[in-house]
Amino acid sequence: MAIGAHPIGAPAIGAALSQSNPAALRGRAVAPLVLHVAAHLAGRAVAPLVLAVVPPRGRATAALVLRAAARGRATAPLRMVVLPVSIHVPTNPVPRPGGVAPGAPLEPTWALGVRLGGEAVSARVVGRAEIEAVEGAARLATISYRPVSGALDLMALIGQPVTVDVVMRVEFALATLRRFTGVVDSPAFDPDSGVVTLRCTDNLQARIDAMSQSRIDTLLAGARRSDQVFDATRTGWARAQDLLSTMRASLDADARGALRVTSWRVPEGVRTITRAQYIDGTLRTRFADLTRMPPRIEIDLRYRYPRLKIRAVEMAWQYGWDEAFAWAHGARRLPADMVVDALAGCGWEVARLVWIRYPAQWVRDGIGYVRYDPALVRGFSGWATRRYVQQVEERYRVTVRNPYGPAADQDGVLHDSFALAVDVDTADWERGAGHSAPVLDYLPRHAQSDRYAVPPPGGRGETYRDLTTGTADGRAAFEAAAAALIARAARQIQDTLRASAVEFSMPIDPTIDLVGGLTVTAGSVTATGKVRAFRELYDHDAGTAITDVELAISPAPAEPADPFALGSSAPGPLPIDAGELTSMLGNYMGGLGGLGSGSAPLDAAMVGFFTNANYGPGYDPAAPRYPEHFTIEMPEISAAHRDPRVVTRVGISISAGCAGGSMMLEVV
Amino acid sequence: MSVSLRFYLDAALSVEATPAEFAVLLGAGSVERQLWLGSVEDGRVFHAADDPLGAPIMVEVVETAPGGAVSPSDIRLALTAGALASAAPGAPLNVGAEIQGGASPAVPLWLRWTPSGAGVGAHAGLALQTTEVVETAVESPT
Repeated sequence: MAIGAHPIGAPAIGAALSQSNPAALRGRAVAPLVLHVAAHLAGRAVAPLVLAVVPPRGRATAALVLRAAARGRATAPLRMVVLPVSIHVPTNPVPRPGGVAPGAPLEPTWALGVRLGGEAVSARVVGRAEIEAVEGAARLATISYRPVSGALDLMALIGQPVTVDVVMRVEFALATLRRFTGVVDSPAFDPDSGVVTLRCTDNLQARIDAMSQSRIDTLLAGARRSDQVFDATRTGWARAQDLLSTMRASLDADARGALRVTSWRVPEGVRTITRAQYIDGTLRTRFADLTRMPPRIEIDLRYRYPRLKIRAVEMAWQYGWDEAFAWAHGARRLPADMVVDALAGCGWEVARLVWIRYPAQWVRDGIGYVRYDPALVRGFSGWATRRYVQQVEERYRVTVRNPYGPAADQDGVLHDSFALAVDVDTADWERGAGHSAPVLDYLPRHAQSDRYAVPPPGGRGETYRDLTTGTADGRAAFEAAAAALIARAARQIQDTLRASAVEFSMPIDPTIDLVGGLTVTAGSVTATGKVRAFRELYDHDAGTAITDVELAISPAPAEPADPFALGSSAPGPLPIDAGELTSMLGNYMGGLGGLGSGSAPLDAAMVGFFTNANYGPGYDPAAPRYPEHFTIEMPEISAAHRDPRVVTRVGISISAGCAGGSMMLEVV
Repeated sequence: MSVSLRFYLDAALSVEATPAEFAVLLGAGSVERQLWLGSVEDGRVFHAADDPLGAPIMVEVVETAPGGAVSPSDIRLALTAGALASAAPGAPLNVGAEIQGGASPAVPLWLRWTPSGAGVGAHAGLALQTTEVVETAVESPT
């Protein structure tokens, strides 16, 4: 295949596709480069190719992806089958008298068209044939036939494809409808009669097992998914069952084997089956068991996660005596190094520090001229921060009510629970520095390890960040889990509500399917429900063809479950006492005498700058003296801010809804 | 080489609509069913052949055997069940300018058939069909 492999641009691609002309695949070189080859490549099979194009004049080689194109249309033939309203096939096992009166309409008859392993065996089908379909289960068929003479290999039949059509003749029209598509599950042979009986299945479970997770998810697109509630590694049928448990619907396959999700909801405007249409004596009713019907399901949900906090505490200190007093008593000034040493050992990180310094030049202080040592400070202000973590636990209780179940206070309340915890190591964050630019280079700092970005406070106060954004343990995952659990509870309740049933038999009606609903009216029973199961019985010996129907009956018209979103939200910050945000720093001079104003004995509550009088008018050698130093004590973070915090929300209540239906009894 | 775009009877694209069958009782009104238009080939993309960069792909009901008891005007097409009521009988349906391969991006379609003059029996002669499409295989440049 000769392809003009020239680099092309998007305009050329479009032009080429629209013109279907390979020669149009020219243009300016761009990268990445993609080639389209138009459809009519002389009818040859075209496969995706990767071309390496060597550009001219020694330029770098660019790999191209060739996108092979095909043209055509998707087409599906449509087949419409119209059946008579009332199909008068024989329904009792009495052989019909032969012959038809001249001029009388032909009596409808039926036949089965059966193909086994691609071969038509209809002419050899004998005895009873059954096709059974039940919500959420594989469709089954039982077919008997007389094999041709010769050796018979029953084992070879296992897995052979089987289709069953019913062919109905009404007047002069033939109506053929597919009733079963599947494979042979287990064959049996009756040596006395020489008849082979095939039990066939549509292989629902095996087909689901063979599907990829994404295909299953697509098929059950209405399900609530949660890898926290369900095992994410489960595949096939097990995964499908997990997803289905959150849907008010069943998974099955139709007569052609097409997989489908059939809603439990009774459709509107269903057809009515009257007494004239079902077979006398076959109508039966069955009622739900009260003991299996919970009044409600209570779901406890817990979400625990770390809240990373940065607290900023204000610090402010100024030298506590006027200069004349200090000079008069020989009191020391505070060296900045003493402050730095204290800050370095306080366990907090200095976020901001502003020195109040003495004048650098000679100044007159009232007594004479003085020039201060530049290492001394008159005061400072700023704030220090500290990182810490508080565990927050949100607790919710959601009640899913049974709108038509027993009284709410009756026994039988079911419980479910779920907990999700964010389990991460925050120790490195707690040790990390709070700001990218150090305030004081000479203060010792911890290594930067800001795995989580928490905005620093702009002053005294507190900022925080909740670690609730993880894929597997984030708030979205928690919400999804809650939604799945609540949907599962709603299904559970609706399932018990539709446990009542009406069963009857009627002449064969191939339009009855699991997707539909019916109303049955009899003298004593009027009921509406969705088809939960049906079985078609074709008896070749008796000539009868009957459909057995089971309707799932709910006690009230269809109503959806309440829309629900947990709407969980993190609690706001707790109030902080003002005293927790300020470091109180004082001035203490030892060696001063005098009642009330004299130096007090050293006490642990005294924090700040300590110095002593060495002479002067207030000096008292007997007064307590202090070691000259500077201390900083940061306020404690209270237990309410540090210990695990639990926030509880209760009283969320939703209705499970109802699939719909009714049943009225009348004694006649 | 034919395109891999097909009509399917299920969302998992496991059973092709060959055919898509409707059954209804005489006089019972209309019958609806859902089909899916897609490709089981991952990494394929489909555009309208006459204008791959802009024109939508259309789905329409065509007569394959004219003169039968059923006609395209008996069928309404829509992307949702709720839109069937407002769909014009026999009108083609715009399914978008691009369809991706794989089950997830398959386009769900709803069909409502209202037999107007069809009597008891089986009726063929209609088909569901897309406009001509171009199929391309998408690969990441290496």
